[in-house]
Amino acid sequence: MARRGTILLCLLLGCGPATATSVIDDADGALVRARAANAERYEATLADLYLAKAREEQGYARYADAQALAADALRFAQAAGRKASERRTAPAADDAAVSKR
Amino acid sequence: MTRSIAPVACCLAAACASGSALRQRADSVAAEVKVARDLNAEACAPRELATAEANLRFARLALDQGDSRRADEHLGTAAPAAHDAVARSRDCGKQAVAIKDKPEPPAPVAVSPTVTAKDGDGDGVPDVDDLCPDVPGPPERRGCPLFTDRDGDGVSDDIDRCPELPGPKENFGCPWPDRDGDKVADKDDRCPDEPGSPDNQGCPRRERLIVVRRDRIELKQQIHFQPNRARILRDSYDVLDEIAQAIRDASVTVKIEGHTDNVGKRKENVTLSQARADAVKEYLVREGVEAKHLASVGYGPKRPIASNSTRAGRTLNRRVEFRIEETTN
Repeated sequence: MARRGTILLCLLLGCGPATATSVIDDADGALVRARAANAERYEATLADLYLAKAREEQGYARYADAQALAADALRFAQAAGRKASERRTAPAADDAAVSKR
Repeated sequence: MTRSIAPVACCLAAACASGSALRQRADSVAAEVKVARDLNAEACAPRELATAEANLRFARLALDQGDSRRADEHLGTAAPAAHDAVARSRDCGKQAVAIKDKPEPPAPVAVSPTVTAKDGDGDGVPDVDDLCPDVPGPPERRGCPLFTDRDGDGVSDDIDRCPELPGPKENFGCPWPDRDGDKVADKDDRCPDEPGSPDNQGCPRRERLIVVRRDRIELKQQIHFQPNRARILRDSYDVLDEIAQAIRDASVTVKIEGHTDNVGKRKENVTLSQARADAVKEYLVREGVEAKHLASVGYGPKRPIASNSTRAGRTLNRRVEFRIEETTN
């Protein structure tokens, strides 16, 4: 709630750079965690590319685009991490699938 | 006025035409991405698919921003990636189709379809499912090694407390301690401070110095005394320790007999042999043998076992013998 309030206040006051930076940082952290968890390659690559593009857009002072891209990067990184942890918690199923091959 | 507007209008027209062409290119890439998706590129070519999709989105964003050059760059990355994704997924898809679309068996004899999927690293995970197709890894890690294992002890470096030294899993990848360096770990070594062979539980083999017979204890090494005195020399302590151990274990009563050669006065020899037998008895008592199980007798030169005319014979005659008198229990 407090976070939403801060973002709203920032938007009203023209804190585009700060908000975009915050989302980029969040996405960056999520991507690091996802990689550490041996994330799925598809989602991890998407998150990586989106994050790089978000930084590029921020460099051109296009903060709204940067924020949107960073939000997508965050979503992909979280999905990658979630899938990796799901895979880890179901090793028996994986084994069974492999043994059938 | 007309002259100044004309170039601007030309530029705008060119930009529109360029933008329109790029959008068409983007649509064409999008179509290819869709084909790749339908071929299960997310599993077969995840990196290529992700690259194509992301760059397609970035290209459209650049077009919206009016940045044709950047859009062109992104489309330049997206198009080959989409193409690769389709190509890889086709190979990948073919194998899947071979399994799924197997027609009815031609003969009543059921022959299981064998699909020989390529497995470059030979880890049992086909390359299409192998996230690390060039490095062997377990199936539960989708063909990727969990972590490195520098010492090759089967305990991965992340949990190996001694990543440079091979060691069992039970000791967190560290070798078991071995203080005496005899290759028998201290936990299995009955003599952890003395090197010994593994088949003797890490203890050194000791040559037995005595043999317990039914009626006597035979010595492989005679008990040595100071000349003409009843003081036992240090080199005889081991044999006496073994004798003490044997008497304690067998619970027998033993007669200690002292003998001498015939050099010197007979009476003195008898006294010396008695004193030596007594000294031996005293030693054995100190080593925990009950005195009541020991008797000591000095015979002097009365019972020679060899000729006293030679030096070797006299040496043999100067001796202590142990006779087993009775078993106490």
